Amino acid sequence: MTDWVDVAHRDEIAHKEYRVVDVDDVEVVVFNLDGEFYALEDVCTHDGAELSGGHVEDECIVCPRHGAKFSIRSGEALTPPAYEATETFPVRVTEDGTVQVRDPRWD
Amino acid sequence: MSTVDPIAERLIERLGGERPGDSVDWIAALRSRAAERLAALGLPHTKIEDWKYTSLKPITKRDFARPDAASATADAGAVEALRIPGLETHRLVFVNGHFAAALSDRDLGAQGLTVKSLAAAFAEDPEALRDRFAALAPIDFSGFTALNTAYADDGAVIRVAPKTQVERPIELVFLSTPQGQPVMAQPRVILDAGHHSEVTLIEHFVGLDDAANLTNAVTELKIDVGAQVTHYRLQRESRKGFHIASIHAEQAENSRYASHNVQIGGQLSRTDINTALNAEGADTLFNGIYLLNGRQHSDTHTRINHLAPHTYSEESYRGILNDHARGVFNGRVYVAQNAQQIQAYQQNDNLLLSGRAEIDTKPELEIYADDVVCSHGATIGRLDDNMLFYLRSRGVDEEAARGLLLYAFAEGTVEKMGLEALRTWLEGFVIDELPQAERVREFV
Ligand code: FES
Repeated sequence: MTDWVDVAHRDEIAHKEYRVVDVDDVEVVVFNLDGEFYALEDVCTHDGAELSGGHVEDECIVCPRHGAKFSIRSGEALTPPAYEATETFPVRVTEDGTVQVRDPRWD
Repeated sequence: MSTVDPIAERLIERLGGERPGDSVDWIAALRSRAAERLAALGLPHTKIEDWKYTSLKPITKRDFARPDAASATADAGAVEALRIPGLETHRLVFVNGHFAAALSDRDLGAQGLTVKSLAAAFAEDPEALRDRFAALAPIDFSGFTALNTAYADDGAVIRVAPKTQVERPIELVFLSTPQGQPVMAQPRVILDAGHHSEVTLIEHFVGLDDAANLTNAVTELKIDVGAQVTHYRLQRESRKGFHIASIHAEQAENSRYASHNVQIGGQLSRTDINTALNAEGADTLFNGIYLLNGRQHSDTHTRINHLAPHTYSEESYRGILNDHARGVFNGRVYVAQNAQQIQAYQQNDNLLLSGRAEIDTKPELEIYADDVVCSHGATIGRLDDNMLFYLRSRGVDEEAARGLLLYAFAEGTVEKMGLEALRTWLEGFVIDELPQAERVREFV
């Protein structure tokens, strides 16, 4: 099984903010929505832009290149020009409050 | 004051040091120009149109070291096992970019043929390389070509005299082996095919023992009037390895360049193949295949520049992508205004075996002449249901039928290769890459 990778302490990512981490060569954006954490691959399925750099609107991240919106909870593409979901990853918060993420695709 | 790219700065710090040829003024000057260029350019990134689908973060975040010449050894048995059965070649072996004489054929030349390591060529007759080193691969091409020009430790220099037919192919084996920390191997290959000569070059990149190194290779091919160069490139880096390469060919009148490019290995690879058809009658074949699975990412950019009338190019690339693999194919054909009555054909066909695999394919035609025949096409598909049905109706079970169709698809690339022994050997690898390998073997 692949290892959990530390993202930050829970208090370091405010509501509607995010952090980017490198999970074994995959760039992952980890979001805080009301104290719950979610992780998406840092790739827009429309044309490959990095989602990080975009802003959070409602519960979506808006791609900075052409404005496609992705659901932070499910990774789904909610508006054109993107149609396919971006990858999601499991997130957990350890007892001491460290947010961690993992890429289970290669287990 | 020009700004220095921080990634380039780190590279320059780590890779600097003495190299063969440094005592020759023009080589030292060229290298420092290349290092300056690298400092200004940095390595490519996704904001550059040509690199937008290939993030180099996995490369830039690692601190690759300069490979150590003293450890340029490998197990002779393992090297022997890499021979292509039934094919006699002039063989040079490199380990992490350094020439390994002990593993190479002793007697490298033949009538009308000289083959030397780059270090030997610099030591023995540097003047002969003055107009050749970096003449076809400009340091402006990308940060990687600048990097290679500044820091290539070794490579090969091949000269074929006019009207010489070199019988045995020249085989360059580039081994990537673990060496404590990940290293960056930077081979440089320079080939001159004299007028009306014929030669076959095989560049074979192999990663051993899960090496997590980076190969940054540059190859320059000068093909004189009526000469024929057949160039096989087999990229079998380890699944943890990285491979960046650019090939730059210049073709004179009635010359022929055939490039056969097989990409199987590497976690992240990018290959640029460029040719310039500079005079009438020049002819190019670009034939390639990428077989990707797991989380491999492979990017191929080709450029065919028709710069003279009555030139001909044919390009066919195929891809089979499974799991989360990602492929990028960009085929550019440029036809200059005076290049009338040229013909250029391009085709890129892809099979996606999983819903998560992805290919970005893009032909780019830039045509300034008006009397030309150009065509291009790209397909992205799954296996043909009718063909599957047909095979099944002949009593072949589903799994074997799928495997056979994939094999037949790949065979479309392999069958264009002229060297029979290489073809047979390669078919074995192709089958190994297919999900139904076992079943296919029962039939072929
Ligand atoms: S790349 Fe994200 S919307 Fe186009």
